[in-house]
Amino acid sequence: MSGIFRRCAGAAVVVAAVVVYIAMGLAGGGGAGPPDRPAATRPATGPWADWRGPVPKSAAQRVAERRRMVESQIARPWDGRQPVADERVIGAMLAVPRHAFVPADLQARAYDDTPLPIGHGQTISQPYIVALMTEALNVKPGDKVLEIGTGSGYQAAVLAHLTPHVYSVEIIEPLAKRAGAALEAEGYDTVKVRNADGYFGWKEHAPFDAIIVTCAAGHLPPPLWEQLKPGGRIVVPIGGVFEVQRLVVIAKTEDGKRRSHTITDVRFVPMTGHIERR
Amino acid sequence: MARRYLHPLAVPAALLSAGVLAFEICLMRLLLAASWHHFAFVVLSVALLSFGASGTFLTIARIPLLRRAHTAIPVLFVCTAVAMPLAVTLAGRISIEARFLPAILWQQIGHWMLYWMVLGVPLFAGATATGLVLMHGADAVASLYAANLLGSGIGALLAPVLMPVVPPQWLGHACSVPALAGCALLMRGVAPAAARFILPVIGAAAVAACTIVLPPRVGGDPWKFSAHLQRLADQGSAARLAVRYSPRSTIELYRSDTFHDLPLLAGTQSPPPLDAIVIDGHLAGWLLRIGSIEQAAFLDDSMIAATYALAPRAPRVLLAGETGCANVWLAARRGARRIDVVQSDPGITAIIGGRPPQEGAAVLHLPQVRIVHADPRHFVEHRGDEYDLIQLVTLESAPAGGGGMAGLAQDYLITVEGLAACLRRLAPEGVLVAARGIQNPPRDNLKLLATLMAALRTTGVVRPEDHLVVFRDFQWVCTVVSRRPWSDAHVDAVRALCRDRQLTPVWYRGIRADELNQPDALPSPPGSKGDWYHYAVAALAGAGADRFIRDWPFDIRPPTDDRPFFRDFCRLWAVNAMRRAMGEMWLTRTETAFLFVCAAAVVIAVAGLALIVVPLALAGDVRRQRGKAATAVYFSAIGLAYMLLETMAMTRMSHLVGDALYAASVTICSFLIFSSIGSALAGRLHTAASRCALIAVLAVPAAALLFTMFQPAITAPAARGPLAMRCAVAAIAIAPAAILMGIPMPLGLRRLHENNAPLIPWAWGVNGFASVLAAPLAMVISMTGGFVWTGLLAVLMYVVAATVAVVQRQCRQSCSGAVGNRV
Repeated sequence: MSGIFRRCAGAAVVVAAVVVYIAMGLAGGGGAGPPDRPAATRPATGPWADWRGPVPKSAAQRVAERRRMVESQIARPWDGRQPVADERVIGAMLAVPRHAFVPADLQARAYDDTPLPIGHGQTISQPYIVALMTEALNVKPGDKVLEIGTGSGYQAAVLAHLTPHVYSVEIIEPLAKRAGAALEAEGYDTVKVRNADGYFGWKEHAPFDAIIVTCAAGHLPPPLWEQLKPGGRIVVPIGGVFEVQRLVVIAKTEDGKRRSHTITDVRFVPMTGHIERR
Repeated sequence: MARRYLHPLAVPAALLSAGVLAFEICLMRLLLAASWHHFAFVVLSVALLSFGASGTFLTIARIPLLRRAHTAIPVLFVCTAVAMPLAVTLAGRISIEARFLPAILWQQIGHWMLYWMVLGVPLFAGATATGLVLMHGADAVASLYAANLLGSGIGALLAPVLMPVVPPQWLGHACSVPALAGCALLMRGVAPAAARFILPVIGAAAVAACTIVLPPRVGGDPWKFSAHLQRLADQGSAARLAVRYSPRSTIELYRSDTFHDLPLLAGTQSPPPLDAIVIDGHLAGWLLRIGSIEQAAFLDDSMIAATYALAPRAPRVLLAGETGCANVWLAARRGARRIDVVQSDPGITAIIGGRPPQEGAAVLHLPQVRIVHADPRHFVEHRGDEYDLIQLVTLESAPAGGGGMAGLAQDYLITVEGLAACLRRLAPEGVLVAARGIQNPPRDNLKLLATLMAALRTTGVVRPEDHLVVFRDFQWVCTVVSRRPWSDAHVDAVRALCRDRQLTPVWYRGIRADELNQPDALPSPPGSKGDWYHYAVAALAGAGADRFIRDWPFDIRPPTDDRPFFRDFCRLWAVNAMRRAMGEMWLTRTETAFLFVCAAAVVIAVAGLALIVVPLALAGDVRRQRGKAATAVYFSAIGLAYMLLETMAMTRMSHLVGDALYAASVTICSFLIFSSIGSALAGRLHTAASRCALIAVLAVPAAALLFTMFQPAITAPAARGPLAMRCAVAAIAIAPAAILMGIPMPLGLRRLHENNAPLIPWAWGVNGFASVLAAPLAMVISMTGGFVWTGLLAVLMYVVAATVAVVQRQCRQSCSGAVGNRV
């Protein structure tokens, strides 16, 4: 019988270790790091990542993180994906403190190459996708831009560096309040946030030069099409809640017709079984 | 030979088993409400794992428990009863998410594991109680085992009775009643009389106290539509209008001024106010709040409206799987002279019918509309008429990549055989219409194209590409199939439609390169002007179709009745390519359903080994015994084979019964009841246990093969009959094999009892482990190669068991002969 108890004790130790590991995962943070990347460029991830050092970080540390983010994910991506070339967009991505729009329990991953949940069934998009969408919008100084789906407010903050006329609509009231507060705290006073049904746009400030719709519907909302100027464009990121599969850029011709093209970040050549980043 | 009397523990054991199995099936219902799938295979595995773990516990603690059996058994009954509602309540407070995000992956996995552990507790308690009953009544083990199986079978029938009347969060409470009743019966010999009810009353009081302190709730995936509705409701922007419960689903109707998301619209008019039809937390359709055909004018701009221009005038229309009635209004506007709406869940019709006519219910009363409550595939095959337009409404969604758990769903309409049946229902000039969202990289629509072309070939068409018209916009692809090759007039009509409605042509006979990929451009194959859909049709029509399908990074093989997983796109070899290309984000681009099944199989196997096999193998009594390996092989083989055959039978009976849930209940119930008969018969066999077991394990594969060969002929006449008759015929078809399958286990236990009793817990344990592994293994095999391979593996396992039985028998005979000679 003592042998049984010894073995059970051993099993209990193993089970306890597993429970501790799971509990660490439940405490937050963790994911598989990207494979085959040089150690120097690979961000530390996994359940131990948050044990690297205390959070919050200093302003200088955050600036350094942003530089690394822009360098390795956007301007000269480590994995060969198509870089974002617009210098104004890159400047905006360098300027906006992404961590200010990320929940407290995910601060350590604020500049990682991944979307993050922000509560209320929403995510803050991957930095690369935000940059890609901003570039696709082709915002010129003075353009009037409408964002449908404020979410964290991060995209609106990035747009605010390109034009002072940013209008953002969010249907979920707590999100609208939180995003508005975050934008105000970071000094983005020119961004107007409204808690309303984004399907109807923001008629009072129409027409718009560019519209970004972050919560894709089953069809292009006719009110948004009406509020878009001829020559303007709508960017619709299409995909699941955690991912953006492609960006659809819909242009309104001068005679009011629709033209669209798709921007994706994945290219594949099925006959060779090859999948690569664009 | 067992004495012929009803053991006093038999009825309580049956009641307990009924409650436990009803709880097990209700867990599937609970998961449908809380998550994205019923996860039947995981529920089965967790249940069997709990049973196996209880065997291990009983092995370790059997002496003190047997010494106090008269107390321990009733206490365990009460513990089971209390644990059921408590587990549901606690599990409802754990956030489980089916969409895995790299940043919080381990947290999400941890939540899932905790969720299953919590739900396994009542199953563990119930199995421990059952095992202790069997150990305590070892002299009548066959009849007690039969009572256990019979009770389980009754529980399988009880669950569908409970589910329409009991909300999911209260199912745990409902299932605890048989366990408490069993406890009360156990105590009937106790004096004074008042003391008989102390334990059941304590149990009921404990359940009530838990309910007051922790009100039960289903919980749910925060990314489901229901979570969004809750958020809207919290801020006063949405309200629930109605709710209905059924075995299949919980159907709700919600109202909000923020609902606009009607798919496939392509015009300048916004839709009217909509009410959302929500099934198990998922958006199932939209109810237009209109009362007349004139108010549905905005639908004239939809992509589906364009397809009516290619169908005969005043068509007879079949809408397969319609939920929200928008397509009914559209068909009425297009002058349809008959509209058959086939919907498997009558609750949807009831919930729409409960609305005022001007808020959508009027559509049910249009004179040309006929509502049919039937499985769409079953209807098309056995009850449908001829139609001019068949619309596959079940396909109309826009799934993004990472199809998630939808990949586990079995859809018998969207298979080669199902689509061929639809084509056979078409009038000579009729058309089949399917619309689905665009994904990147393409997968759904390519799989649909491949399946449609395969279906056309089975109907004798030589050039299926001449029967296809495909067009799209930036979000949706619409495929229209004709029984006859499209004429020049039709092709001109398609060109005009695309031009007038700003649609992008993808394929029709004679399409030119300059027509492709505009006005909505998609990425093109290298060196091509068209999009991947155009490329795919050309490839699938040519000699390189097989290679194209094989080399695509997603599984686009046409699904068949043997492998009816249309929404499963996982290609294991492509996962590495995705990981290299996407880094952490690979998980969101890869179809997770199959990976979930594989991961579940691995985790369950490891858990089974850790909780069942290893502790038993190390237990002193077992460790010292000889014959462990042969015992393990025999009992694990029959355990694996039983579950694999049951899984295969479930899918076969789905066809006959025409309802997956009722088919599952009938199959599980039939297997349990008829196996219990077989077990009871085994207890009355006077011949040597080993010989009987050998005969049984050889007879089962023969019966299974006969079942496979003759089941369609036996059950086909019943296919047109009412549901009750189809269920009865299904049970009769299962009976012969199931009776035989109930024999090997008790006979094997009897043989062990005669020759090597200390190995009985080991036998239980490995049998439980094999059964645990069988459910996810059956899913892996069937999703990869089809259910027929599942059946073949089961037959192989019975052959293995037979071989072991023969070898053991010969060894024993030669050993006893040697002893006899020495004597």
